[in-house]
Amino acid sequence: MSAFFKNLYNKRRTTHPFRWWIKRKADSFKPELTKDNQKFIDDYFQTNFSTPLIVPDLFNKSQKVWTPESRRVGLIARKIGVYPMWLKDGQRILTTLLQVNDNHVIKCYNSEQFANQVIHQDRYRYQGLACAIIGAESDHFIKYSAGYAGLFVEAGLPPKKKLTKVPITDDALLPPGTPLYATHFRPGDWVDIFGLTIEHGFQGVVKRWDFAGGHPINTTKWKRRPGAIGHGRRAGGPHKGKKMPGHMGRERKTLNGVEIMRINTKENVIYVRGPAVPGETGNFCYIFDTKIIEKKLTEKNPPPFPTYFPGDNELPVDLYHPDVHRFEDETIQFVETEKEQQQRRTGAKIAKIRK
Amino acid sequence: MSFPGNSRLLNQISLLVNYARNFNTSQILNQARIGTFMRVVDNSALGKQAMLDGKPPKIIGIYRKPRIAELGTKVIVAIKGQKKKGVVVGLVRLQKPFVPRFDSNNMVLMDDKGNPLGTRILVPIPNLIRKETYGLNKIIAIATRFV
Amino acid sequence: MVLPRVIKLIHSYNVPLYCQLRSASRSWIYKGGKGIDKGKGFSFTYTSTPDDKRQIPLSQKLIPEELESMRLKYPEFLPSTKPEHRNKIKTVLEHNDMLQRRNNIDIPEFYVGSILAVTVSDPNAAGKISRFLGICIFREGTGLNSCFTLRNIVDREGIEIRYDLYNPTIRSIEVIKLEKRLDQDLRYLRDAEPQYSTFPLDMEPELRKEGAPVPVNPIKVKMLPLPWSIDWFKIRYQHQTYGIEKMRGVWEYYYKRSVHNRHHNEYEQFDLMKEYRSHIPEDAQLPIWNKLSDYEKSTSEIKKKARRAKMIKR
Repeated sequence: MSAFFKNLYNKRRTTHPFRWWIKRKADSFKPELTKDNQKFIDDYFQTNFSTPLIVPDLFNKSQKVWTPESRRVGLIARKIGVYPMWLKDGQRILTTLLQVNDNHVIKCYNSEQFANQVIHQDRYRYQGLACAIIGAESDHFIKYSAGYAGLFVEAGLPPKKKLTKVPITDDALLPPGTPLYATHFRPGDWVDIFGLTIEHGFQGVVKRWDFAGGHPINTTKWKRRPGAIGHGRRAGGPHKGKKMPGHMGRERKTLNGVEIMRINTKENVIYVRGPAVPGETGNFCYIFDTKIIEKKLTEKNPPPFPTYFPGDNELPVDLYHPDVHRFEDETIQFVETEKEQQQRRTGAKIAKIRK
Repeated sequence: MSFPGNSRLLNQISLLVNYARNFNTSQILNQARIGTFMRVVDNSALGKQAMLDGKPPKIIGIYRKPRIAELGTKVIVAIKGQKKKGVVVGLVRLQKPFVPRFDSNNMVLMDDKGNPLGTRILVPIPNLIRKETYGLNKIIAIATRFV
Repeated sequence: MVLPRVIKLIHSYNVPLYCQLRSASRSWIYKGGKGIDKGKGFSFTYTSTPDDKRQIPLSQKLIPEELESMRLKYPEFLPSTKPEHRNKIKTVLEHNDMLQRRNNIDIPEFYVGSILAVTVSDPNAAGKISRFLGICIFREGTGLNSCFTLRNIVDREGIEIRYDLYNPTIRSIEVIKLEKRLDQDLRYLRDAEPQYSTFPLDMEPELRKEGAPVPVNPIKVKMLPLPWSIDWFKIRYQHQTYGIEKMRGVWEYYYKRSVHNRHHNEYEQFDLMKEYRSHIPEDAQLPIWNKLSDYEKSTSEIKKKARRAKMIKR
């Protein structure tokens, strides 16, 4: 019975934070600090964590060859807003802006080390894969507990607001402390995005499951109700997974097959086609390469592997998809073919004769 | 309720009261569906007579899967007890940018084969209809002005 | 009447709330409790505080006089009033794109009620160009989403077209007559007599002195008899319509009905935070106007030469 009914319902949300995580926040009790101690803390933070980390020795060692079976690292971004742009045909599209803010690699595990950590139920899913931990948006260490801040000591980074684990192959391992930029992707790539959706609260059956309901005028007392629930007591009552009113929203959803139209290298912003990225403005999103077979990366156009490392040649501020019209270009003009020119002249002659 | 005699003021107020009770609070769609009345924009004899008598044509059928008429769709219409085909040429509903919106639902009458009944169109027509996929070259030849 | 002076000032072009309400004192909030009658309307008085006792004196202004006209020329550069859609980095990137587009085309200053002519490159038109002339009815949107509609009556048929300001298929926008009207929303012209929305398509542009103030056209429009397509006295379209001529006997009934429905609750008119949130404070407006004034100075010489070349050609 359990296997049949488990497929009918999915656990939508889990308790957060999990009980096996390290305690993140610092104690609420804060002792009064003397002026010298306060100054020491501020100086320590400024000398060690105020400037961005540059790791030049890594850039030459970790250049590797990309294969179609290898899997590389992703990014954590924040949704900023929505913004229209125009194509060269004159068509209008909407794009969402995703800002990649202070992403660093914090730790990497081999495939052997990762296999010891994986839960028994997920052993087939992560078979032969390694793991990398990524963090986004650095913060002052005084807000966090000692155990959480100790995770970042090996990489030499301040503690981060957001962490994830990413499954990768052994080719794409990176040393701790490498920065990740928005040029990890290129305009024209296809991408999967997932995030937490908008919160709607306790909602009824018409909004949550798209039920039809009843007529708003010709009925009494039955307008937005579900109707029948089961086949009676003998048949076992309502079956498991029955669609009913309940909490809606704030669950993880993925958008597969999204195209990148533009990248801003100065502010590290990715422009993605379509307004349907899950979540409100200000929410975190996770970006990876697609799994769709028709739009995967190919050997003819290999990506920067394992990531993009900045070299001597500086990139321009804006990188565009070839179909997109740039605002600095001139206005769009359409060219007439010979057929249309002849039609226009004959049409004008006929109109003159009629008048 | 209507008042007799020279009480035009009171008649206006009664109109208002009845009108105010029936106004719509939801969004106005102004879609052209089965049952809407259209305005003929030809100089054909059938169309002129129908509009003068106060019996405008009424849509019976729409050649489109979502049964809502848009610019350039073919349509069956009932005029003066007859069935005729036509093309929708102007709509009252709000449109996308660069597409014009008219103050009346306009249409042009034509045969089963696509030949228009009139010889001239008296009203401006949108440029959308010039697309080759619509196949309305004979109606473009009659038109006087484009918008 | 129902605070007519305060409501008029609030619903003008994007002027922040606290600039106007600095003159009102607290006493009117308590005095307003008496005399409220649902059928008749509100009746109470308010007094103004003297200059000595004000916290912020009227003479102090955060925006200097040179930049006061910028919010009328570039109203789409302000961010949206909803804080959910607002972000500092997004506005900076959006402003850069808008200024790049303005280098290629001259987007002039215009208001609702002024007459414009727009030429557009259209793939379906004859010669791939189409031109339309009309009166500006409506204007909305912020940033690259900003748009406006033009209305005209051609061959006894009313036509309205909506245009995006920053669309790259627009070739030119010409202002033929610059003027303002008493309302910000002229969509009631659909149910007005046709003489008020007809303009010949061959109209020539009016020459106007630089630096002259924009004239206000105090026309009162005559409406066709009922029924109308939309109830134009509703709150959703406009708080109050000043541009419609009074209809004898019918006006007072309709006006009182709209006044009664203007606020859902009795206390909504005293909700200062609601009014404050619908405007953008002057602290946030200043850096935008400073940026635009720098852009104007750098491009003013180039535009003056182009204007002189146009005048000589005529």
